Amino acid sequence: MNNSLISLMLLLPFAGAVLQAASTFPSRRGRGSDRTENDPERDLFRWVAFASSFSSAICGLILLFQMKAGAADPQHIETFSWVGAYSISYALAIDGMSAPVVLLISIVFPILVAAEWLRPRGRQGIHGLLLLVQSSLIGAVCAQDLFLLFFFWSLSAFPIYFLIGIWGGDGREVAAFRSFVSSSMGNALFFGAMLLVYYSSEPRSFLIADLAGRVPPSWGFELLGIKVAVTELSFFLMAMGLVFRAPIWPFHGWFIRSAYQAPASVLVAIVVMGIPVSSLIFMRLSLMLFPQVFSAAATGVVAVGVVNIVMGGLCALAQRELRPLLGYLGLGQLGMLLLGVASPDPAGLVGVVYQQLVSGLALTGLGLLIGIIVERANLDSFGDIKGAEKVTRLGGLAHQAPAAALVAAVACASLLGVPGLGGFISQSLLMIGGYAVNPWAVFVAVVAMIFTAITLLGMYRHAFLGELTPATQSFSDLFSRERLFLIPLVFALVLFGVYPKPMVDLIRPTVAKLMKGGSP
Amino acid sequence: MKELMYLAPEGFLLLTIMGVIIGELGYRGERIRTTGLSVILGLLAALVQVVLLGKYGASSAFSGTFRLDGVAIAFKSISIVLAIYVIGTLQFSREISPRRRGEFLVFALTATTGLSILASSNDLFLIYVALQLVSMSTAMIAGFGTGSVLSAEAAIKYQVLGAVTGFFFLFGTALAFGATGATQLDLIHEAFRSGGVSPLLVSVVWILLFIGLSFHLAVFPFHTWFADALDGAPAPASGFLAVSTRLAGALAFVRIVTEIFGEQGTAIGVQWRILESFDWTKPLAGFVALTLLSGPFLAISQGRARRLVGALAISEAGFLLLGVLVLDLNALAATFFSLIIGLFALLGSFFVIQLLCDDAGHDDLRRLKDEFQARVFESLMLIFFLCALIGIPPMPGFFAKFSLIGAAIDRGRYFLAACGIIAITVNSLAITRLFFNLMGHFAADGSTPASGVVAIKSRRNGFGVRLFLFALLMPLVLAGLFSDPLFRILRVATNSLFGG
Repeated sequence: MNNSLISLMLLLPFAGAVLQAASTFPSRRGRGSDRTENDPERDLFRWVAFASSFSSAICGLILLFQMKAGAADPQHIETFSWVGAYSISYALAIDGMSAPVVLLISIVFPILVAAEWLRPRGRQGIHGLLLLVQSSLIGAVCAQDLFLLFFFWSLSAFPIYFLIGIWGGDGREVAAFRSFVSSSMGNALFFGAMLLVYYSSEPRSFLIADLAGRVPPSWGFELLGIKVAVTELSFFLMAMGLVFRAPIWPFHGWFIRSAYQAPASVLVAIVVMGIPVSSLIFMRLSLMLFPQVFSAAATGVVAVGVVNIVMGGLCALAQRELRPLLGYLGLGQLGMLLLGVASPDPAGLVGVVYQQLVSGLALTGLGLLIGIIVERANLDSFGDIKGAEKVTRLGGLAHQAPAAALVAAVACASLLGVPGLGGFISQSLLMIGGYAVNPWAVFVAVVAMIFTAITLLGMYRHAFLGELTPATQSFSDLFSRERLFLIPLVFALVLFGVYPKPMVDLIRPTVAKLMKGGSP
Repeated sequence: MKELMYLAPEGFLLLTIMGVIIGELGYRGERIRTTGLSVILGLLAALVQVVLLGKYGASSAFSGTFRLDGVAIAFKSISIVLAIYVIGTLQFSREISPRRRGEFLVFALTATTGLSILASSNDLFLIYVALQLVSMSTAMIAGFGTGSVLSAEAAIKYQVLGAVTGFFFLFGTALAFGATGATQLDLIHEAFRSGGVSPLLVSVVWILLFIGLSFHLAVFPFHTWFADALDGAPAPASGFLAVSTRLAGALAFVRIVTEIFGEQGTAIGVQWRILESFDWTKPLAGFVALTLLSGPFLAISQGRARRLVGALAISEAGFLLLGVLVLDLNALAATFFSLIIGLFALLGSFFVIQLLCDDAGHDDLRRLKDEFQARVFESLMLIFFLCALIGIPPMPGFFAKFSLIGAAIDRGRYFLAACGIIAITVNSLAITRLFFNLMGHFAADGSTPASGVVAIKSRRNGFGVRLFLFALLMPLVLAGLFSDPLFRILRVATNSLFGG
């Protein structure tokens, strides 16, 4: 029986985005963007944005609470035929693997809307586009049809381009263009993979569960005299398609530039899209559609993950500004996920799924906090940059803003895997799972994580502890609104650190079934 | 008598043309000019006739020269709808004064009549005549830019190249007639198939007809005129020219390829086989690849909005030709789907560019900064139309691209599929560039636009403009939402090419 609540979760932000777009039409009071700051209509539209995002989140939470623990199969299914001629279905569901990312999106996006509450110009636009990202990411995570997944995944690239291009910093044009070039290439490769899989399966279908094992490994064609197996080529195209949409070294240039230029809320949306969602799609499709190829390529995937951790750690070590630092932390976090994805031990995969949730929460907290700091201090350098005056850096923020310092401490600690926080559980599981097959990779990753620890602790020491600098003399602590949206993040990180059982119980059956070769 | 009924739509179109001429001759400066409304009524009457022709089913008339099948009815309807929309763009044009709109309409209707005849043509001579009617009328329209050297150049370039390539087509027709004694497509096919004609001659006929048709479809390397003509012509003429030549070229290609150079496969209604005596698909594949790739790379380097849209349309021609090359039911249905999307998307794009040109006085991308600020809705519409045209997922045109690239993969043409994917990707980057230029200083810091375009916008943001944009937008949205039933209808229409 169809569960319409899942569609409601998907469509509510979309409806909110449409309403925001409608607000730009001229009315008796003038065009939306011409109205003054205190216009009650503008107030109404931000409440509409928040209500649509929050109600979608409520739908997501209800669906998660209704999920049966111990069940491996997809739940809350809604399906009907969309384009019958090509067997394209509108099929949505949640399983143990997607549940944590649904939870992450449900927590993060209402917060992002709230974070843009006071934007003086183009607020409806930024709210509308963030809602569109929320809708498309929910669709990409819950889609059970490969075409639908591609539809939502490619849709998510457009709002990001506009968000950076319109509301970004001085170099927004280049950042948005590079981001769009990268995502276009990624989408093109993913599209090629999708077509190959569809046209080589018999009978043809786009349902991921139906496609599992339907592409014969021996099926192939000759290209320039070389025999190419469709499964290998499709896997390669799909993986490369996701590489261009995620911060993976050496294709991470767009991500770092976006981190420099995008507003904090947009950066967090990019992080959620590029790290947890892209890794979830990679994991799901690799294990379900190309299990044999993926198994053969596992060492390569781990190597890419390790390189990402090492490069992320080393580059982060060299940073003296908060925004690029966050970008390189993202690289390291994605590397951790890849380390566990290729693990044949269920603990590794459970760790990956858990890490998607907690690293997403920690990076969101840190990202929003960095946005607040940059907005108030008008700079984000925390270290001594050669030749620069002390006035140009942050320092002693904990004296002026203890609440902000607490949030930063919890987020950094979770990213470093300090016991009692979510990151500890996920990283432990990842390491346990990864060590069984690739002890060398785990060893290198641990060493690289030391760089990250040095970086984060150094950043915290310089920016939050120490003496006040001229730039932070008049820094004010978090306002009530900011506390209201940052507290849930801190609470969630602590909760998932001390009581991981419900979530782990939800994830494990799906992962176990997937590893046995069956589709969830 | 029944055969004459088959010509009823064309008859109504001719009556409408006469009505416009008489109306314009009799115009003595009255306040209200009813030409536009009377043309719309005439076109609607012709459209009703087309719908009524559907009851006759697949049949032919005038000794097999004139065919009435699903494709003919679909194309006649599309041509008439195109004419109706062009009247809309004309009403908002500043480039063409009300005094000259009557003349414009006459030529637009003549081209529509040519398209309508072409839709039913089953004879090489009739195809030639119809194509010339379309290209000559459209060339006249291209020269409507008063006092513009570019417009005159566009018209002459189009006219001369159209005539030259027309001669190639005519020479191919003459050779085919000389070798087979027939000009009817099915009879030529029978003669070619019987083996009585040398394969070399078949190849030469194919090459000559291909050159003649490639010009209309702007296939590489016959595409050079296309962007120039669109750039020089007034915006309503650019939209009409871009769509009508695509329609004419694609339709003639489909008819000639399916009737003369293709054979029905064993599984009727699924796919064609190529003529055994001559494999024309290999050279065609090269042209498809070059057209698919040349358009996007031209688009990304253009400095003017109209030229950019023209270059995007060139790459779209590659997709249309891909459908003809792959030759199966889904691919041809997708080609027709692509044409329908292209109709609204190209007209919409040129309409918005027309508005921007009216405001800024040019369409130079580097100087269009802040137009986004002045025209948020229209700029977003332009981006939507272009995205729909090139088929960026999840826009409606994507389903057509998906079908065409999928059909290429299905037939083992992986290289062409890769070219198609590259084309979509590079095209999307070209649109990004356009958007950047439109966006200009739409910054978060509250800075005001540098130019005085905001003052101009209030004059032009009328209800009529939005209504017309909405009328262009809705078919695209509906095609996206109901792509499945639309595809089904187009498959039924395409199936009639097999006599289904």
